[in-house]
Amino acid sequence: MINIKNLHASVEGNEILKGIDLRINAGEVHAIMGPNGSGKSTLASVLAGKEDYEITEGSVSFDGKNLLDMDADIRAKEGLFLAFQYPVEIPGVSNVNFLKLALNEIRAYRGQELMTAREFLTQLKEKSALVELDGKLKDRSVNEGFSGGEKKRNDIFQMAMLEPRFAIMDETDSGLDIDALRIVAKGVNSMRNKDRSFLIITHYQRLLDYIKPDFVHVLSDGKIVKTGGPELALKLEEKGYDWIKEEVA
Amino acid sequence: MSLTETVSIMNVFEAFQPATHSGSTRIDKVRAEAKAALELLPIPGRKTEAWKYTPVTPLVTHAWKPAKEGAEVDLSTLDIPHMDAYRMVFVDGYFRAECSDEHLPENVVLLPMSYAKDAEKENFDSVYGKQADHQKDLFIALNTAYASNGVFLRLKKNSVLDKPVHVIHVYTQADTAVMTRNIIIAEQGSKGEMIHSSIHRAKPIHSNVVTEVRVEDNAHFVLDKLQGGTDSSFHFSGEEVFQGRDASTTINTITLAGAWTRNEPHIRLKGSNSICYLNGAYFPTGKELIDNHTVIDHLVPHCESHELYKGVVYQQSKGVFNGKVFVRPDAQKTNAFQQNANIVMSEQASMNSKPELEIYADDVKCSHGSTTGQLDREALFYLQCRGLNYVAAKQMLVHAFVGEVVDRLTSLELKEYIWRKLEEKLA
Repeated sequence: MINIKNLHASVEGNEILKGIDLRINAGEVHAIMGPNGSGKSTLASVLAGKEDYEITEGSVSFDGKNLLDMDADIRAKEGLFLAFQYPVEIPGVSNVNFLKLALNEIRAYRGQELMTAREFLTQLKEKSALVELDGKLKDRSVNEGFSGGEKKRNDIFQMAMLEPRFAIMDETDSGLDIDALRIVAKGVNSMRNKDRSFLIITHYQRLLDYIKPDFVHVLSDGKIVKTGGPELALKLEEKGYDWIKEEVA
Repeated sequence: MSLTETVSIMNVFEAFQPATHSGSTRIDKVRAEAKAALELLPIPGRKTEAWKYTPVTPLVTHAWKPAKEGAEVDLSTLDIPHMDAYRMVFVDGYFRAECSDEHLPENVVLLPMSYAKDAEKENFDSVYGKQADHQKDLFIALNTAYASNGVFLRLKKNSVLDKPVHVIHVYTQADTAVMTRNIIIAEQGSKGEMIHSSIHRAKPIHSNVVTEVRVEDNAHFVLDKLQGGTDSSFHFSGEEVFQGRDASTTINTITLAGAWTRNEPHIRLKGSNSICYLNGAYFPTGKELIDNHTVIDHLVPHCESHELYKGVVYQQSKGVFNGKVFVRPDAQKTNAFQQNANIVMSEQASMNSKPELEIYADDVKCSHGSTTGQLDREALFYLQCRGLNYVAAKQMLVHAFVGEVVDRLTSLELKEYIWRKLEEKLA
């Protein structure tokens, strides 16, 4: 599904990603862990199409297409989704109107029929209930007045509405209490299927108790330095990152 | 001030000499005074604080001609779609009876000034030239010296206007200057709304509209100004409001386009427990300049003023906001709020914003805020990540930003019209 080869990225002349290789197949859930400053969020931003980064080397193909050539909205239309580490508040932009417009732009791009108002409302109701945000979205601006947890749940709700094929969760779990974490995980798990892949970026092993990954990668200083199964996350939780750094050195 | 400057402005407008006798001694008197003032008033330049960012040269040096009566004009596109209003149309400053509504409710007087000066002589004389200061302000003096027509609206005591009056000014002749004078009297206990559209269809054109408004005790009046100029239109708009007690006045100024636009709403709160709202939105593009200079004068206790101006400044255009609020020594318990926020969309665009509060009373609540920044890039990226293309995402954020102002208008049809015009402009 997504194939990252030797990806290098810099911001203002500082190289953050120093040669990432990662292949994610349809239906797989990959977790990326790593210490602060290792480049986790940069990877998420680069994949989603944020323009602050300069790609100096490497390639990313998404179902055979060159992802790095696409604008952020085209990536979304092609089926990529980013759940933000810090979802922004956008005063004056209605949650519901914005999502409806986005959904229909995506559907038009994919050659699907546009959603009727009735269909949209049915889905809205069903999927906002999934993340326990029902009744909190109507007549409100995007994330305005939402708590940290509600903002993250809103992102998961949007993911459920937009039905991407590949979703990146950028530290969706950080700052969440255990109840919010459970709700977020429930949302993600309900969407797992053989065609949809996930890249879960996290600082803590805790999330992986709720969302079982197929693979765990350790990112350190802009490179993936170790790859394993779920047991790797447990080992990291127990021993920290230093032993890997030593191993790599 | 140099002698040549004063000579030139009289030269420019020489051809405008109206008939020596207007048929109204009041008009004749203020015209003579205004002309005398024009001989003396300096042309404001860069060193004049109130005109620092807004050069007036083209307005007072271009060889403006008076417009001729009877221009052909397609009036079908002037209306606000689905808007139910009493319509009054002026073409190049001339009243067009055939496109204006004749039948109005009994409790309303809506006449062109040319009729009202006789038919409503007493009321007319009580306002005309009494609120707008033609002795001190160059553009008001110009207007007073040469205005030939305009609207006279009087809402009779305790009357409620069932739908807005829509005054449409179309300007169709290149190189003409048109001075228009309006008088509005909202008598005690009355309520009404007037929409004033200025539409420029040739270029260049110099239009100058001065409106004297008397909002009497317990009356409620709303004025919506829609300005749709061209890339070589020059438009001055001054509103001189006297407001009585327990009354409210709202002026909404929406400037959609225009090479040079200067708005000067000036509200004097003369009766206690009165409230006024000034709202404005402006969208200069290209090399346009839009300047909003507002004055709210709290003269008596227990009044409120609320001011919200928002602008999106594109390309090489300029925006200017200057909000003056006076709280006079007697005006205790005043609440005055002012907010100006701007988004500058390009590096060549500029915005000058200046709140000016002069407070001479000690028991008051006054606040002001001025922000100028760029479009929120994080928000833009967020929307794009959800599948909105760059242009749609940008428009959505602009819409959200100025929505706070546009949503303050009461008429749904008017709001939709504004959004549609904006979309056309920014497409």
